[in-house]
Order: sequence, then structure tokens, then C-alpha cells
Amino acid sequence: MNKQLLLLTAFLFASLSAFAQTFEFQYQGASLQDGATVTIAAQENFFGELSCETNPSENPNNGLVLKMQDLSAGNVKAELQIQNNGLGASMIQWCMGGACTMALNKTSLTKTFAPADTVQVLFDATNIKGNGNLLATLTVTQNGQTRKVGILFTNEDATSIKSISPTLSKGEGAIYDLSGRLVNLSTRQLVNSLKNGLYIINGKKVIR
Amino acid sequence: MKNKYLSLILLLLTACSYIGEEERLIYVKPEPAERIVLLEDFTGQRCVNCPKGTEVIEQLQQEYGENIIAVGIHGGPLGFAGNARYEGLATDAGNEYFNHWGFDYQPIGLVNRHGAVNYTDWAATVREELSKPAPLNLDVEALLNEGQIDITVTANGTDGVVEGKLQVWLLEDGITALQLMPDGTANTGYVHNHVLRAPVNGLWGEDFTIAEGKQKTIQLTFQPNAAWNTQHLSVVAFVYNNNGVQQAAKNNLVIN
Repeated sequence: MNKQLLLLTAFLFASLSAFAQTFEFQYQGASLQDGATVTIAAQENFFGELSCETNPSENPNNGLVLKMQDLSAGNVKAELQIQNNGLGASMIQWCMGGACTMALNKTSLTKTFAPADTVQVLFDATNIKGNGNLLATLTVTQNGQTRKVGILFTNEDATSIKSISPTLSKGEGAIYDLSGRLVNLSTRQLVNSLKNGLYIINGKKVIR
Repeated sequence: MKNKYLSLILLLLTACSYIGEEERLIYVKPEPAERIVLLEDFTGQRCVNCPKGTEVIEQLQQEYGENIIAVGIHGGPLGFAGNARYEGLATDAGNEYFNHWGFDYQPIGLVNRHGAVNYTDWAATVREELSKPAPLNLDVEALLNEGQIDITVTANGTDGVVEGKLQVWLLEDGITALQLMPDGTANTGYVHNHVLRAPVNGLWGEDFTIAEGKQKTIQLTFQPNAAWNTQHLSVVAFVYNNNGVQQAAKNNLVIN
């Protein structure tokens, strides 16, 4: 009996391992839950331009990255859906897996590349003008496994905010903190830990 | 003695045979011109992968020497025009060229203007272009004299009639300016070479025609910007038409 139990456990473990996630998104060194949204407010970049960047040039590896464990699991497919809600910019680009693509006026982009230990998700909008926001949803697939992250660029003031319709599925529109933890709005401490700026939390504007 | 001379003269006169008019001159075709390939690198200081393109250019220059002429055209969405903080290398001309070709990413190149080429394919494309003969020889000289650059372009037709445009550009090497690198960091000490500073004879050049066996000389003048380092300036001249770049030439600026 014990032997059978042992075999069953080993079989279950092996099965689960086969489905264990071999990659994840991280932002500023912290793991993100699947479907989390990273909010980035416009600020001056290294060139002195008002911009939103997932990976600022001052420390690009501390931005949004894809951490991959199984480099033998085959090519990675990344799809970026872009919903621009009035964010004016002279340049928007997406670099991932060693290739960059212009994303200005684009709503959908795809890349396929070989896996690496750390893949920077360089998504930036430069020379931002006017008030508005942009929500990009990045879906990454490798060997049948999928992870998703939202990137919210914002340059909005308190009076002109527009509501956004996140493309994430139900339950994923709520804001997560930078560690990827779902923020319990009754826990003021977690909300207070966010950087100063304007955020959309469960469809409502919140100024920190 | 007199008879001997007379006999010799008579012999010479009767030894000549008649040659028809069409056979009197035998046309010798000019030697084929050696191909010089033009590589236009559409680059930008905000372009993280552009330094990789520059590495390819440096490898090609080591391999082919003067048979390849590279021009770094700063402009497009990833070009940087500069501000109070940093020098920018993007120009209005660079932006116009980028927009004209309708590229959707950088770095991207034109090799003898036969269509957009990703930097990973530049080596193979350049090799293929070098194997093709050119229909003309082209030389360019540039002299800086009392603040003005005098440019002389000399063309010799070697195959058929070439019709197109002659374009002349001014380039500068050794410019230390900001550049984003492939790892995403900003390098303030990056040295930019073969940077397009300005077109000399209009954005798209001037009309040009040359026939086989003929020579043509074009004289141009240009006033360089005081901010440019004249010790590092060079001039590129090339003839192009709907079939691409027919020939190119480059020379360093000589300071009088």
C-alpha cells in the first residue's frame, strides 16, 4: 500500500511539474501575479523628454522583465494589444527578444524569439503631450504556458481623467501593488506604499 | 642612289591597301568600373539596437575597405534632435529620408537602394552588390578654403548611358554624443561615425546623365556649420536612379 501511495505521489508530482510555470514577469525585482497591471506615470527620461518607460535607461534591468527558467522549452511568442486613451506621444516602441518595433498608432503587435534568462520588456512612449493614458496588455506564451501583464502609461491630471476599459479578464482590472499583490483597499498601508501619482483603482481615480 | 630612293617611295605607296571608312577606327570599350557600394544606415540615438548595426558596418569596412561607403542617417522616431542637455544628431533631412522610405523600425538600411535590409542581412547584401559591375567611375574631392568647401565630382561613363540623379552629402566622423545601447543603458561617451550632417546639392540631388566613354565634371560649394569639426568632415557623392545606386565615391575634406 505504501509503495502504491509512493508511486501515486511521484506520478502526481511529475504531472504537476510538467505544468509548473517556467517563466514569470517581474517588475523592479518583484514577481508579478499573472494578469497584474504595472502603472507608470509620465516623467522626464534620460534625454530630458517627458516619457513613460517600462525600463528607464538609468537601470533598465530593474524595470519590467520576463524571467525564464526553461530555455529548452522552445520559442517564445509575445503579443501586445494596445489601447490608447488619448496619450499623445511622438514615439512609442516595443523592444523584446532583441527586436524593436514602432508601436505608434498600432493596436496589435506580435513577436517570436528564442528564450533567455532575462528578457527586457522595453515599452516606452516619448515626448508625451496632453492628458490621457495608454493600456498595453502583453501576453507571453511558451510551450503551451501563458502569462499576461498590463502596462498602464498615464499622463493625466485630476480633472481630465477618462475611465479605461482594461482588456484583462474580470477580476484583473483591480490595481495590484508593485509586488503583484492584490491591494485590499481597506488596507491603507498598502495604498500608502504606492508612489505619488494618479492611479486608476477598480475604475476609479485615486490620487496619491 | 636617286633611283634607289625613288624605288623605295614607289614601294611604300603601292604597299598600302584600301581600308573602308567604317573599319578605320576600332572602338575599345572602357574598362568596367569597380563597384563601390553605398550603405545607408537609418539610425537614431534612442535606438537600442542601432549600435549592433554599427558593429556590422565596422566589420564590413574592415573586410571591404574603400569599396563600401556607410552613411549614418539620424532621424525618424528614434532620432534625437538634441536639447539643452545633450547634442542631437537627427536632421530635418534625416527625417525626410526616413519618412520617404516608410520604414517601421530602426536600425534599417538601404544597400545601393535596392529595398529595406535588416542589419542582420547587410553583410550578405553588400557582398552581392559588390559582385556587380558599375556603369561609371566616380571621384570626388573636397577642399576647405576660407570657410567654404569646394567640391569637385568627376564621372567617367564605362557602360551605356546612365541617367539619374547625382547626390552629394557631407558627413562627419568622431562625434561623441549620447546613444542608447542594446542593454537599455544610455552611453554618453559613444563615438558616432559617418554621420550625415547635410545634403550639399538639395535633398534628392540634381539631374545627371553620362554616356559611355565620356567624362563629366561637376563643381559645388558648401558652407559648413561652425559647430562641425572640419578635421573630421568627408564628402560622399553617388549617382542613383530607379535601378538603385549606380556608383558611389567618398573623400575626406582637405583643409587648405
